[in-house]
Formats: sequence, structure tokens, C-alpha cells
Amino acid sequence: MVYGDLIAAEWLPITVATVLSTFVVMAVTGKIAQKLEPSADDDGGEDA
Amino acid sequence: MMGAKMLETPLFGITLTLVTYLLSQKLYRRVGKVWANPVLVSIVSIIMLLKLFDLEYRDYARGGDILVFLLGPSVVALAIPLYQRREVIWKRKRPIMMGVFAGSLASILSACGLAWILGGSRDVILSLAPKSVTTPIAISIVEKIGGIAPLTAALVVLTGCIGAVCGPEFCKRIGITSPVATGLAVGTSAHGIGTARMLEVDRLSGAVAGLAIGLNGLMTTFLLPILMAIAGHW
Repeated sequence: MVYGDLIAAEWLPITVATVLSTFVVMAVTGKIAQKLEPSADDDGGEDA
Repeated sequence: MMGAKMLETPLFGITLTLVTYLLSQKLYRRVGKVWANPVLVSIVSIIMLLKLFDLEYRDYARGGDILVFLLGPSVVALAIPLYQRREVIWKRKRPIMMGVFAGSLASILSACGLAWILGGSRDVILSLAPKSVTTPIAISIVEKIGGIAPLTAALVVLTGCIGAVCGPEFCKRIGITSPVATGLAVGTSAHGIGTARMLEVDRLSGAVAGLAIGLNGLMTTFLLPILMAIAGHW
């Protein structure tokens, strides 16, 4: 592995940042979009 | 000898990837559980096979790289479900734009911030910055800002897998129920791999996730230099 040493030395910040940030982005994006979405006409869903 | 020659052709990587993925899909259909996500099972199986038979990643990548190239055309093909649902999506342009903007900002700040708090080096922090962006754009970004491109490529895939495996269930648990918001959340966070998963869950969600890939790529490209300039002042 070319960057094996770097990954071995910094596995903690790499893994924690990647995993947590993935969930943070889903929560922030989804919550904001849902809050701003027009609720009157619910034409979402399968084959809308 | 014949086997050794085979390893030197791209056919080895392509065959191994396709066969593993087809079998993983079969397993997923049979089991129907989140952990049996075909992308995740394929990655783990291929790593284990390469380790078990002591095969070089370089030999695998010769074929793997050809498949990675096809990622570009597949992202472009997402325009079709998007076009089919253009009216529903256009009506929601504001929540979509705001959602992806917030998600893009949250991605850069949370990934770099967490790595910085935990003592990550400058190279690692920069490599993490575009991790929610689709691979070709993420690589161009990281080459410009000075991170490690192969590390970013791996983190992009890891992010995609986490989003694809946990995304739909996680969104449901935290109260994100609308198909547009769910698709946008998974697409913004987990780009192409997440989008492939959303297309299985719901067509509208998949289309919106496809749109989110492009929008997030665009927004991250614009936001990152601005945020780096601000961080540079401190």
C-alpha cells in the first residue's frame, strides 16, 4: 500500500471524520429540504 | 503460467468485479437485509480474495480502472429519470438548492473539523474535504487544493458505501420521510453509490439523488476555495 503508513498513523481522524460526516450531511440536507418542501400537494413517492 | 498471464490483462479485474457483484446482488435479493448491501459485500469479498490468493492490487486495478471510467457515463445516464420527473423536481427547486447548499457546507466543515480536532495532518484534512463529491470531481478538487488523490478516492467510495448501506434507514429514523428529501440527503452525502441504492428504494428519490450528485459537486467546487481562504486568515 502506497499510503499505508499515513493511513496507519492517522486512521482515527480519517475514519471518525468520514463516518460521522456522512451522517451529518444526510441529516442536514434531508432536514432542511423537508422543512422547506411544499406540503400542500404531496405528489412525491413511487411513480408520482 | 497461463494464470499469471491472465492476471496481467484487464479481463481479470473486470471479471472478478462483475462476477462478485452479480453474486452479491443474488445474496442481497435472497437475504433482503441492509448489511447484505451488494456494494459492501462486493468490496469486502474482493479485498478478501485478493488477500487470500496474495494478488497485487495493481493487477486488479488494471480492469477495475476501466469500470471506474464507466462511472462517468452512468452518472450522465441519470438524466433520464431526472427528465421523467422534471415537473415534481422543478416545483421543489428551492428546498433542493438550499438542502444541497447546507449539505455541501456541512460536509466540508464536519469532515475537516472532525479530522482537525482529532489531530489529522494538513494532507489528510484536505483529502477529506471533497469526500461527499462524486469521484471524478473529488479527484480534480483535491489535486488543485493539494490533498492526496488516492486517499480521497478511497474515502469517496467509503462515504458512498456508508450512505448506501445506512442512508435510507437512517433518514427514516431521524424523521426524514419525504422521498425528495431522502433522495437529496443520500445523493448529497453518498453521491453515485448512494444514488444507486436510492433508485432501488424509490424512483423519485433516485432521480433527486442523481441531481444532488451534480449540485453538490458544483457547490463544493465553489465553496471549498472560499472556506480555505477564510481558514487561511486564522
